[in-house]
Amino acid sequence: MSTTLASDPSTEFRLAIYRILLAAAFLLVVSVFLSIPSYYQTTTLWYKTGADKAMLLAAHYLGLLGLILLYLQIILAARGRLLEQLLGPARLLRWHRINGVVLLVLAACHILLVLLPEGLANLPLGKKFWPEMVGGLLFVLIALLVGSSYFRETIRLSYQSWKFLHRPAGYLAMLLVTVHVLFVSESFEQTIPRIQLLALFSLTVVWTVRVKISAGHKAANSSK
Amino acid sequence: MKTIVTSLLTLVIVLSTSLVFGAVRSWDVDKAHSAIYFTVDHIFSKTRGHFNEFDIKVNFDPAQLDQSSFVFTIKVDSIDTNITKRDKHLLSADFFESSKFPEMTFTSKKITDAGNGMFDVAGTLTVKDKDYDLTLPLKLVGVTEHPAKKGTEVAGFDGTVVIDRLSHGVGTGKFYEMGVVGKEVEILVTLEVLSQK
Repeated sequence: MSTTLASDPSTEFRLAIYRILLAAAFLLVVSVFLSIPSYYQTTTLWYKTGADKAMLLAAHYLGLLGLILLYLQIILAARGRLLEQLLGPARLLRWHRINGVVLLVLAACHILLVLLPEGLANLPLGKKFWPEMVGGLLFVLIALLVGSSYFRETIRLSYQSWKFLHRPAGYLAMLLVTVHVLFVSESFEQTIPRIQLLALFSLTVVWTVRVKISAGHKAANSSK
Repeated sequence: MKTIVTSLLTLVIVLSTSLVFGAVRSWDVDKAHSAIYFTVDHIFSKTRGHFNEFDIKVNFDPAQLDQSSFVFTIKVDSIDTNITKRDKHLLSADFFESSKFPEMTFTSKKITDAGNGMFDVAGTLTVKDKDYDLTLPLKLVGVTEHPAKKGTEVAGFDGTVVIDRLSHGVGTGKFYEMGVVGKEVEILVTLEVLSQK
């Protein structure tokens, strides 16, 4: 069931414009973040040649795309009145579920493409590689989030328990990805990429908090 | 009873053997004040690093050089150049391939007095499971009672040696040909070793 507004042609037109603007904003964020690995190239890339260089560069792109999709995942989960009006709750839920799987695939490819050029036996383990290990923990968390959502009934997890775990784990994933990117990547030691990342993180947090507060007010009013 | 007698006899034999052959003095490495540093050229500048984990067995007496020995064991993955990603690259197959070859060793075969407190420690350097002859010139900087630990003597050794990393299998020459990483590596060994007086 969709709850998108479609009353008259002018509203339809307005909604279409909003949808286009929303898509354009998303594509702008994606293009800005995907330009970072080329514009603010890491020194690690300097010392890679041939296939190793291609793999590492691809890993950077996939990792950053994963970052954006993880933030998007939080926004899709929070929904909010505007997104519900533009896209409808059913579509938001469907995208949230698909996006989760895409995130897991991106994270797996990112890890593989980062590790392959240095050798799979040469794993970044230990205290001094803590940002890489945060990334590893994040991958496990994403896998658990996606796995428990798709196989909730198979593993006999009640909906209440799943919801109780899924939401905070999602916020934790958002925090972990931010810490991972900020501290693992040389590109994000530069001021502009750092500001861009923190701005996107803040926007996602503000959006989510606003939606939650608004939903809280709505629930309080309806119970009166 | 038989076991006790056997044990006592063994102890007597071991002790008397030490007395007859004059066991050379054993020293424990003070790891907080010992280091294995290396320096390699990067285009124009010098890049320095060190190994955080190593074990060095020292048996040394200038009067009994034929029974003195140095055995160095270095954990390759403890390499530290202050940049973790560079360390990871150094551990990859481009350089040390630490997953296959986790240790490097240097075992002395012969120590000779080169005069002026210098000792030439000739031995075998094992890198990536291949043996190379190497002479490490070590200067006995001094031997004195430890100022902070009574009843203990401290001896200091310093030594520098330059090796060609490519002829020791550390790297394929790709980065040397690119003009990025030099092939000559200067190794500085600086030790403080302790022994009961």
